[in-house]
Amino acid sequence: MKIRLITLLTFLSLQFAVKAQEFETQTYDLPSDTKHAVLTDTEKAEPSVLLLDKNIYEYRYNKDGDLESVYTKHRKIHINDAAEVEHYNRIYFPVNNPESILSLRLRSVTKSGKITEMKKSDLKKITEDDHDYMILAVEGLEKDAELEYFFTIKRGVTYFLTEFAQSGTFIRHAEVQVISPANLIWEAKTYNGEMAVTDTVINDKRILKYTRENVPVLDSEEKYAAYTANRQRIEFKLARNTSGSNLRLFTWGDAGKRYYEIMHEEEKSAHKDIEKLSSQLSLKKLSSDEARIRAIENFIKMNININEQAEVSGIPELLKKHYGSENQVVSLYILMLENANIPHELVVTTSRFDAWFDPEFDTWNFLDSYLLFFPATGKYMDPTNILYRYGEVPYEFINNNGLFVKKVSIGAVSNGVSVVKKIEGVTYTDNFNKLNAEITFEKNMDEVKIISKQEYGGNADNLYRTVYFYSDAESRSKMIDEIIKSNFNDMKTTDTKVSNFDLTKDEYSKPFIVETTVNSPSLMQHAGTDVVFSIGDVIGQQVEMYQEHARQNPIDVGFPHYYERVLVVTVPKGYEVKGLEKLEMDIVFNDLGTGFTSSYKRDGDKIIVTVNEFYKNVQLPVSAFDNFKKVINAAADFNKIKLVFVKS
Amino acid sequence: MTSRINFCVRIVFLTLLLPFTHQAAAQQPDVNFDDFNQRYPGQDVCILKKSEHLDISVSGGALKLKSVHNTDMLFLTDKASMFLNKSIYYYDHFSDIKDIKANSWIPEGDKYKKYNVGDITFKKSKRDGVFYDDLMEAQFVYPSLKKGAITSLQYTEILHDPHFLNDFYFAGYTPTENSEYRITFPDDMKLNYVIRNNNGSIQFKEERSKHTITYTFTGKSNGGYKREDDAPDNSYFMPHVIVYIDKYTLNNKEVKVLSDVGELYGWYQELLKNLKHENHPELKALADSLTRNASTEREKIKAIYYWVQDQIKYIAFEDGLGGFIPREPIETYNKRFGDCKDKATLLNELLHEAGIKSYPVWIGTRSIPYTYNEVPTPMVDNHMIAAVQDSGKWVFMDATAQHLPYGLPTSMIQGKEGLIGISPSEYKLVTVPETPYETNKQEESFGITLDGGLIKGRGITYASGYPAELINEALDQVNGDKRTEWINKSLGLGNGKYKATGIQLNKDYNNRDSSVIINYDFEIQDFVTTVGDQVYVNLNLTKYSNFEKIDIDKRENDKEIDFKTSSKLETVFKIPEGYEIVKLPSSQAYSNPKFGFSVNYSVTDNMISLKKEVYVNVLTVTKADFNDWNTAAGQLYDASKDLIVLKKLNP
Repeated sequence: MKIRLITLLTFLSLQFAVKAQEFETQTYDLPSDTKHAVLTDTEKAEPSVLLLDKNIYEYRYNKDGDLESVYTKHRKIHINDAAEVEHYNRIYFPVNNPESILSLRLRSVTKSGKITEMKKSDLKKITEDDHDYMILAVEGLEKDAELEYFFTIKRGVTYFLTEFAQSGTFIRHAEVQVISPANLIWEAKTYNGEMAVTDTVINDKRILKYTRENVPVLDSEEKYAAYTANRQRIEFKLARNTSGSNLRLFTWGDAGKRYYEIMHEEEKSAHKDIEKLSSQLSLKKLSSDEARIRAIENFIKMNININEQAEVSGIPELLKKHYGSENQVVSLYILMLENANIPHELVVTTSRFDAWFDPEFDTWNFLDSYLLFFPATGKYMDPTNILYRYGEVPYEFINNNGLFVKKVSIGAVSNGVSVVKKIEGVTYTDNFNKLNAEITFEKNMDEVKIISKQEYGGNADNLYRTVYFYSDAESRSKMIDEIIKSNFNDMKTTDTKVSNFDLTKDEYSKPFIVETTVNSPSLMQHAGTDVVFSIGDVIGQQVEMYQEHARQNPIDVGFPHYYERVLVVTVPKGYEVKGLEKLEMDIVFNDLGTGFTSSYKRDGDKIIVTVNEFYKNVQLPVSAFDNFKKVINAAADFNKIKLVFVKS
Repeated sequence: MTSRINFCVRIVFLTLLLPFTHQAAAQQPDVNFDDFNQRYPGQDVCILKKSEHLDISVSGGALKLKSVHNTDMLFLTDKASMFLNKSIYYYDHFSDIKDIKANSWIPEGDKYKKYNVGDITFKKSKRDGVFYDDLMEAQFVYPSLKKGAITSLQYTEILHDPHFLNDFYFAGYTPTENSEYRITFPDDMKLNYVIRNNNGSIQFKEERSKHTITYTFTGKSNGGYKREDDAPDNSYFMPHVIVYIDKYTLNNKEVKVLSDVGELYGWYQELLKNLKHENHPELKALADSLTRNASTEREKIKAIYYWVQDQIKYIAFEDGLGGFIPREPIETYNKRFGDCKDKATLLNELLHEAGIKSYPVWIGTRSIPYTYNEVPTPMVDNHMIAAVQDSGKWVFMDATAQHLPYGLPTSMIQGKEGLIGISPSEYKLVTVPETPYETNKQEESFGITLDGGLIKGRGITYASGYPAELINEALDQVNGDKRTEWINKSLGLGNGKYKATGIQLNKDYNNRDSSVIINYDFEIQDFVTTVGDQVYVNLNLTKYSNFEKIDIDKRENDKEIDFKTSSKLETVFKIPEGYEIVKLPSSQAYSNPKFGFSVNYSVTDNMISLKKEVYVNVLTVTKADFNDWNTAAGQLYDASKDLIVLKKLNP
């Protein structure tokens, strides 16, 4: 959630003095019983079992009537397999100083009953991936041991909570609680499965509790799956304050207004700098709004870095130093776009691999990534990701919902009006990989020569274009080798040409093209005077799903896309070609919007093979998996096709 | 591999992260941008100057070590803004960083405008693979970077321990125009230096003034090295200098620091002297219970060694000198975790309790090129293991490698020199043997028939030595159904379109003294090609991937190999009834002392058998071997593509 809530905080404080409340979790402790759990047969078969996974978020009013919050985590783990020790012998605490840990107990109990209890003084502070943590190494852990711990930490007051109740480990009992003053009404919604719920008020405290028993393991390794989004999850939000207006809090409308305010904080103070930059970029002289959008984007992406640590006072300083916070950078875009009168909307969303953005449940935890939408063209831009340019955004956002914030002016007063809708506008025709290959044979049929042209459109380029653009010469040639090499074990390339890679130029709207001539002995196998040619390998190695177990996750193909390959084989003189009939394939599921076809025709000494493959839908249900797999494997089957050249 | 490494890796690491240089430019830079742009085409950045000036003095009755680092960089392309975040890393215990002066020079018109760096944030950092250490990071941002911009950085490093001076690299992956390492020290100090990978690129100058001596090492302009897969560590090919203090005079007394291996060993012993070696009944009881059923000394050693491998997990604390001092054995035993030196020390203690002589061994992994006599400093090693004498031979035991059998050193220390601590005053330097290729077997045998277009058969996969160790490490990560699935996938049969059933792992697959044997039945679809009445079959049911051609035109570095191997593939194919052989591939072979292969086909009754053997008998394929390597790899590749042709007989 990108909104700094400061302006919204105060109205939740009580306006009159109250008796400060105690935290219920203040007296939380581990049970005194350290006897090992009796495992069921299911649990015995797991490498480790989370016997208990309990998370409690608690809120209270302090003596000043302000809200405070603590978080308690309590886990009990049984280790069946020695290799699992390494997953549990380092415990992370999401705080950056020992003082924030209010209470902590952690003990390991071996099979023979030996108890080792860890001390708070053994906590160490570390930084990983720019986050600070306290960590503790767990002593005495071994096969068949149990680990049990709880900690209560101070946390900043937040009104939106996300908690997972499923993982790659079997959970016997999952529990999430929100405890808060009784006047604060929390709402929750579970995703990917039901949980039992109780909502009680005791002594002015409201306890909202969700539980689930025997949560199965969710396989994190399935291909074409959005694992995190598919885990059982529960979202909480503070919905009402009965001591206040009792109106619904934190609606989508409130969020839209707040984003508008944040983006326009410097509307007046940075006006001069915006004007100056607009003229520096000669925006007025450019021929179209699209050209202006690109000019603004290129300037920002090639010159301004996002840095949340460095304090930059505002847009004027950001323009001088070339760095600033993400909000400042997005605000710069919006003020520039407004200055150039280019219609646009700010979109705030989340990756669909993390969560499906539920329009029905207004938790602001779905609001964590910015996009810009341009209604005139229906195109999107990711303003902060330098790997993408206008017209293409990371595909994790496609098909998810987003909060679209639009400026609406009535007289001299402007405001942000918002609506939640789907991020659409990308069809399978936007993302493609086309291959044209002219195939001849050389050196007594020892080598195949392939003059190839590959075109990549939209997301289908796997960021090749971007990586190429940002790389130095050495990495560029390495990368092109890798692209081509995936097809050939042993090869020589000549006449390699790469086009349309400059992200800052108009060529960005054209497909990224790699042309090359490859000579390779790889696809040729000799058998006496006969030669077997692995024509199927010319399209590059395809994903295989021959060995899949029962599917758990729904299918997510990333982005809609298609492949179109044309292979033109010149039959060498003095040879007859056999095995062509295998090139006829037709596996199409129109109801699923996916299919694979292959066919050929003869034209003199040429064989022209056309191979098409398409995935029109981004997501498909589990029930479609068998047929989806047939399409995926059809491409892999094509890889196996061989032609035989027989001396005539 | 690096996750098992402890202490001194830090020093090497530190230096590589820090490009240092000359005087922070106080006045307008004088740089011909176009000249650099032409000289380094395709590069985004080059180092104009890097330097370190180390000043050693004796004052206030103590040795003072102060180093001034400078780096100036020039940005050659529009991608300059990608480089604006900068970090200086250092170890809190070993040095302080102060007086950081950093700025950007931004071309504006025909002049440069100076932009000073704002806030510098000092924060805790951490090396990958270590649980906790004292690595610190000073972070800042260079303002306003764009094409043609120059950044200048200067800072002072106060070194706390005379055993740890920095090494200095005159060139790296980024082109470097000027580089200089200078060291000034009292004239009654003896200072040693070692220059590596010079190739005439480093000039040395010695100057004497009244009470001091100054050594200056100057590097030549260098276009930058290539990053390559399987290349040796930078220290094997980049020009650098290592300086260490032999001895000096303090209050008219001579103080020895690192004059030779003996001195280094003495200092290591000094660090160990606080280990109590108290008798702990728990350790004694453990040693007794582990060795109760062992009849020979070797069996006793194995029982104890394997227990430590299994039960003590790897977690590394490297807090200052704590990175060099092992924990009390009883502590490691109780915690059930430790790093290499904790495990080695516990292992030695338990062996002693069982009445067996064993010794600590300091050693550098293959990423370090120096021997103890060449570089008698803590820079030479980064690992600790244990050793025993068994039938007159040294056996090295690395308790951080869980699945390693007794008798094999870890692959990462093969051929390296170990410093064995015989007693507090006596040590031995012994070279760890390279494990012969015959020990590291990976073998597959198949018995197959053809049924319609389907290949059906039975397969056996066999592994010993390091390949078996690797399989066991992988099996640790997967359990139950996932384990079968993993084995199934890793069989990699034919064209990938196969199904393996009845997968059986031998009972003692994870017994280190045994091998891994996997039995299974399988079917492969679409692997044979049928045209009319002819059938084409390839008997190479798996691909041998360790023997790939090297791109000789482009490759600059030798190619390192983790371990020597011997692999074998044997396929016996029962000719289906009603078919005759039209064509059998010819047998082939290539052999030299370093690597080779043989492919043999034979026919008996109605069986065709293929026997393919490949051996690699080196740990490094040097550039001189590249041509031979490619010849062998090419022939092997061709031979692996050969097809058998069968023809249906007329009924």
